[in-house]
Amino acid sequence: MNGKLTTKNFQDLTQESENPVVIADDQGFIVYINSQFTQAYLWTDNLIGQTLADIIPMNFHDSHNLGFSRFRMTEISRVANHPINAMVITQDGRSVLSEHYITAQQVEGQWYFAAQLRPLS
Amino acid sequence: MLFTPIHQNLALVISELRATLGKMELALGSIDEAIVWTGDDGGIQWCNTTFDRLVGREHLAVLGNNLAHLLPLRRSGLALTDLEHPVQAVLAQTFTTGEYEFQQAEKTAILEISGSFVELKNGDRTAVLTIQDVTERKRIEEALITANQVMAIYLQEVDKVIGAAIAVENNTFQASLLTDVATREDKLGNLARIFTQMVVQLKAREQELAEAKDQLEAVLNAVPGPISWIDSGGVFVGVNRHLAADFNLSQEAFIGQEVGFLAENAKLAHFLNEFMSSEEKAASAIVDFEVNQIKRFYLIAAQKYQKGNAIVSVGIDITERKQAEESLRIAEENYRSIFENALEGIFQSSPEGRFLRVNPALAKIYGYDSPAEMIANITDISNQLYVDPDQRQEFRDLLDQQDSVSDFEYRSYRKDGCIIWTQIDARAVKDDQGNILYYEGMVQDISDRKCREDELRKQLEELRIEIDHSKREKEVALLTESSFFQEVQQEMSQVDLDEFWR
Repeated sequence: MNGKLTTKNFQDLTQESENPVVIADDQGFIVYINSQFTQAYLWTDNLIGQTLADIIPMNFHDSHNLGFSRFRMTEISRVANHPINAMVITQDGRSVLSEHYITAQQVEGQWYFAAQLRPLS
Repeated sequence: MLFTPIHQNLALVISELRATLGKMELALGSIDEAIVWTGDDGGIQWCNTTFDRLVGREHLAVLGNNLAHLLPLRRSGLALTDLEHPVQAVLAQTFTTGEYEFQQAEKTAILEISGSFVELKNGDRTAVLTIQDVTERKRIEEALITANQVMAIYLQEVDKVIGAAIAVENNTFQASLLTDVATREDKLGNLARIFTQMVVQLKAREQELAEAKDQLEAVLNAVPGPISWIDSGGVFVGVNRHLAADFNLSQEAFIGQEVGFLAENAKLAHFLNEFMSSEEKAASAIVDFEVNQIKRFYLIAAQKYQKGNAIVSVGIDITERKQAEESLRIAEENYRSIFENALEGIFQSSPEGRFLRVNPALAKIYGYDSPAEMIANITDISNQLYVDPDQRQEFRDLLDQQDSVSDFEYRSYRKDGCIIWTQIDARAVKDDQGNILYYEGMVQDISDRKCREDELRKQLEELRIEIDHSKREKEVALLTESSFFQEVQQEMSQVDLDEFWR
């Protein structure tokens, strides 16, 4: 769970990652979380189908939405493929500063976004 | 894959919204103004890349920070408190726009901030701030203001130079007018210095010129004759006091007038106009015009100057000389009449013995047809005219001694060889050194008188002889008888009869 966050394809992520992983589709809907994510942030599978806004602090919603939308226009991301620190909202409403390593990948012509997370607090 | 399918219609709407938001983000990210909005707590929810650059942070490092802390501002050098920060003012709905200082790493930026407050239906309160870095613009504005101030000062000093030029025109210029401007180190200062120097020199030249003009006017006015200056158009440029006084006008009354504007000086105008149109550089003429209803004569001497485009004329009043000449002409005429018509012979002859002038009467006395013939023919008066040439020498000796000779009688040859008696009254005309220039005098033919005198003398002689004879006969007896006979006879023999009868 505390291993180094690296670039992996989604298949590997879902099968091998020891860190919390969350995957969203190109509209920002969460399509996958692993057990480590559930363990770290207390969310259950009922998070699937919700938007990423549920796990992003309110002050980051606008930036997330606009950046997410810009990526769809340009396919250029300012947050992908390098570690960034940002808060993650837990099921019980806490904000947990976590290192994010975000990757984007097309599957059958559709973009998906995966974030490997490492809680820092 | 564990992906959950999404309702197709909702996905389409979201996709469109994402596209719109993407465009907006791109658009807002491409403008030069920084845009940032915060939540009700002042925490930054979004900003564009211009704002990231303004605060010098990575985008994610900006998000969530309190704007008042991330963008500390000053106003007129004083730091704003959180409550005074524009973001709080916007949230309090008391702010529209303002200008602030923001200390960056290497410089103080001037920010022009405008803000608007947004409150959503769900109660979210947002402060949207638009921030423009106007540092360069302000620098340019300040530079412009400074330049304008410099320009205003420059223009004021240009006005001083113009004022100085006007002062020169109005003859009120003083060097102190440009003292300030002349201290400038730029071209205007140089101009002021040169201008002042030129005007001062010009004033000095004007003063010298005025003094020279005064002197010239004094001289010209002292000249006892008219002086005038005329330009190429035949217009008076100036006249001296004498000319003005001749026509009872002021000197200024002539300036600008054509030379012929006075009917009285038409001859002068004619002369000057002809001279101007001629190629001559100098000319003179005697003209007359009436001065105070008296005709006066002037010798006008005119000279061109200014490459022939102007004339100065000087007049000398020669009225007295003209009058003297006229008197002399009349006298000469009278003399000539007397000389030509006199009954006495009149002559002038040289000491060498030639006639210089003779009148018709003298030519006639000596039998010549004309004076010219006589002058031409008599080349040696002593030998050609005098029967006794020694008398000519006697005549000259007398004149040497006493300058004049009266009633000098001598016998002369006429042209035809006849001898006549003539009587001469003459004088010697000498130069300053006493040398005889010529003789002049009058000659009378006294031949008739001399004949009468000879006849009378003969008659007296005959009468004396007759008387002597008669007396001698009557008294001879007595005488011969008296004791005095011898004494009387002796006495009679000693009597000079010519002297006795005279």
